[in-house]
Amino acid sequence: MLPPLAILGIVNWNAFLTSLLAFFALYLIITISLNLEMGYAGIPNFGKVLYFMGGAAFSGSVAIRAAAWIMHARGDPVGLDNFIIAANLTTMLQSDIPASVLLIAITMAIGGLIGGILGYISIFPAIRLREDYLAMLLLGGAAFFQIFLANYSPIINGSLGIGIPNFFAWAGSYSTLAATLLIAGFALAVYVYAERLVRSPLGRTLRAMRDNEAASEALGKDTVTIRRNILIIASVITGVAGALYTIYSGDTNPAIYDRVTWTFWPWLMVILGGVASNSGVAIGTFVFIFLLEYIDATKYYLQNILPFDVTWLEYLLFGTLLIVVLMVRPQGILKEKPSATLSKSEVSGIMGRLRGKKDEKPGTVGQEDAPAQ
Amino acid sequence: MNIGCHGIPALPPYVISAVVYGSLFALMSVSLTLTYITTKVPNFAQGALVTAGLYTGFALLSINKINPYESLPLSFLVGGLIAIGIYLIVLRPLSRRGAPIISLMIATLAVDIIFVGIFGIYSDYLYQVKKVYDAKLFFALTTADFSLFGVNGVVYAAPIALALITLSLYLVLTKTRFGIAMRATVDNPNLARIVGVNTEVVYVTSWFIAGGLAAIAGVFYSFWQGGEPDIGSILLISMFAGSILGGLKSIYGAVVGGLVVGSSEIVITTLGAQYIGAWVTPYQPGIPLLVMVITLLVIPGGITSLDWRRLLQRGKK
Repeated sequence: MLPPLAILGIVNWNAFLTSLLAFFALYLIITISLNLEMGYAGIPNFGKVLYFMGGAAFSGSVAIRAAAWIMHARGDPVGLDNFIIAANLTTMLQSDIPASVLLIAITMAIGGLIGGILGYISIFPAIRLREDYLAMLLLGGAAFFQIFLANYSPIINGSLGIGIPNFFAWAGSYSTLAATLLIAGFALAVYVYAERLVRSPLGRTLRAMRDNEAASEALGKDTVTIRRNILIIASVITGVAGALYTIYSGDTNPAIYDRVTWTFWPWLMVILGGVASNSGVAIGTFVFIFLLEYIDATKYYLQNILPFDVTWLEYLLFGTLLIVVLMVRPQGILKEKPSATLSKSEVSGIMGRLRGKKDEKPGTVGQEDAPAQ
Repeated sequence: MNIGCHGIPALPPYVISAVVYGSLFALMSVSLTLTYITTKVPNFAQGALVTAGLYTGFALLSINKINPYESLPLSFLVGGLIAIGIYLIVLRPLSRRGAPIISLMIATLAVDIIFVGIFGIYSDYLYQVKKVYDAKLFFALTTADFSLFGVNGVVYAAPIALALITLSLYLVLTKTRFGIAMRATVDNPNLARIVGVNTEVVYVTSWFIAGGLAAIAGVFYSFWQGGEPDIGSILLISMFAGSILGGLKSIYGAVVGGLVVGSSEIVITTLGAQYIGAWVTPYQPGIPLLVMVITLLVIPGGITSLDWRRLLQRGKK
């Protein structure tokens, strides 16, 4: 029998494309939220892994407990029998679609909640400290949170980590694809939300605040509240991304959440794509994830020749790529565009409506004319 | 360690450990502060300089059988040259292009990631090609240390090195033309350039010294604790905590800050394990974070920003 045909070095194109979509969507959620914080609100969040880790670990911990409670499974779901219990629960959930959907919803909600709580805690340094102090504190905070998860066993059994049941077991052999589509759906929703947000009056306020804080305060904008809200929104989104990753991968382990993978790579994607440009960030994320996945899928060709782990070459490659981008094209692939304005026909339509109302009730025109923000 | 019978007053082992740790983190904090006062960027690649020194010592010991104390100057040189490279290749071109501080910070983080890769490759190479089987997690330096009065040599070497380095930095900064030029550059680079100071020489020299100090701190660290490829990122928070406590502006502040952070890590963890429970021990990395938070809440400018004379007078009243 002939060996499977490897086109462009990839043997299993289905698995490659599914994995590409899953990680592109997952990272898109993180990079869009990072872009909201860093690109629009001007908060350099060097602790992105913190919210992701919190969402992923706590949602995994709650998910298996909730599943065990709903299904009346015996034993400690995050103890030593964890993997047996998780496997049994997967079998039980296979025929119970409503329970599976409910558990997915619970997991995502817990991820968002924990992300939000961590975001709320980070407000205190984020609105007070200069960017360099903030970066050191968030980097340190994320590292400590990882140590906490690895040593405090009630959450995810310490450094051993826990497995969670497969909530897409009812989809049979399509379960990975179903989880991927869930991530992709959420990523699309986040993208649309972020795009609408930055085109709204609030989006223009954010840019004004980032470019000249004193001037926007002089115009009556409450920069502290706005910055706080954006940080919480972005943290909730990142927390949900963590929960989605736990659902997708089926386990959670403190060692997964290192700052290179979940803080540095997202920063690289945002800078590569273009700070303060959602479409640019999407392109940057895709380019990066495509490279990463392609290297991961083909690196075993090199592995036999080289006397070291090929993964290290990714570190060299992407670290250098970031520095080169910063030097050669600091604005990224797509530049930040000026605020979107209404088209001429829409403006004349609104003017026409206003004029029509003016003829009927002259008294209400003043309210209509007032700017929305 | 049986210390009492050798004539030295019997100190609990954790006090000795606290002194060594304090000296090491003081060295690292001085190094970090030196890079911060010159380029005004927190250098997230500082851990890489520590790891560079540590692996230079380790490789020379395990392949060439050179004692790490003898290869200390070479470790200093390696760390210093890497630091100059980071400054000249990455930071200077970026800041000349007018990159904002966030870009410079993320660039140093990128440098750190590159070095994670380099040390990963190097330790794999030592393991697979040179057949050094403890290259990924080694304690070879701990056993290669000499012993004096029943304690390891590094117990004397680290505090003595710290004292000598602080003294010589003090002498250089106050008594030499170069030191005066350096202080002028740190205070106001434009004014210094106008009066004829070659600020580039000052920057490059500061980075060289900073890299060298980080590297020898790394060698001393592996005399006490052993080493691994990603040790730098583990130590990074403690370095930052020491520098922030010292105010990120003053070298002497960094010495005190590093001593406080390093020794409190050991003392608090040991006493905590004794009186609260053994579960406290793994949370040792939380102490520098706590120091950082408390410093930023209470004295954001660090200990050197305090007016000690006024505080003492208030205390007397």
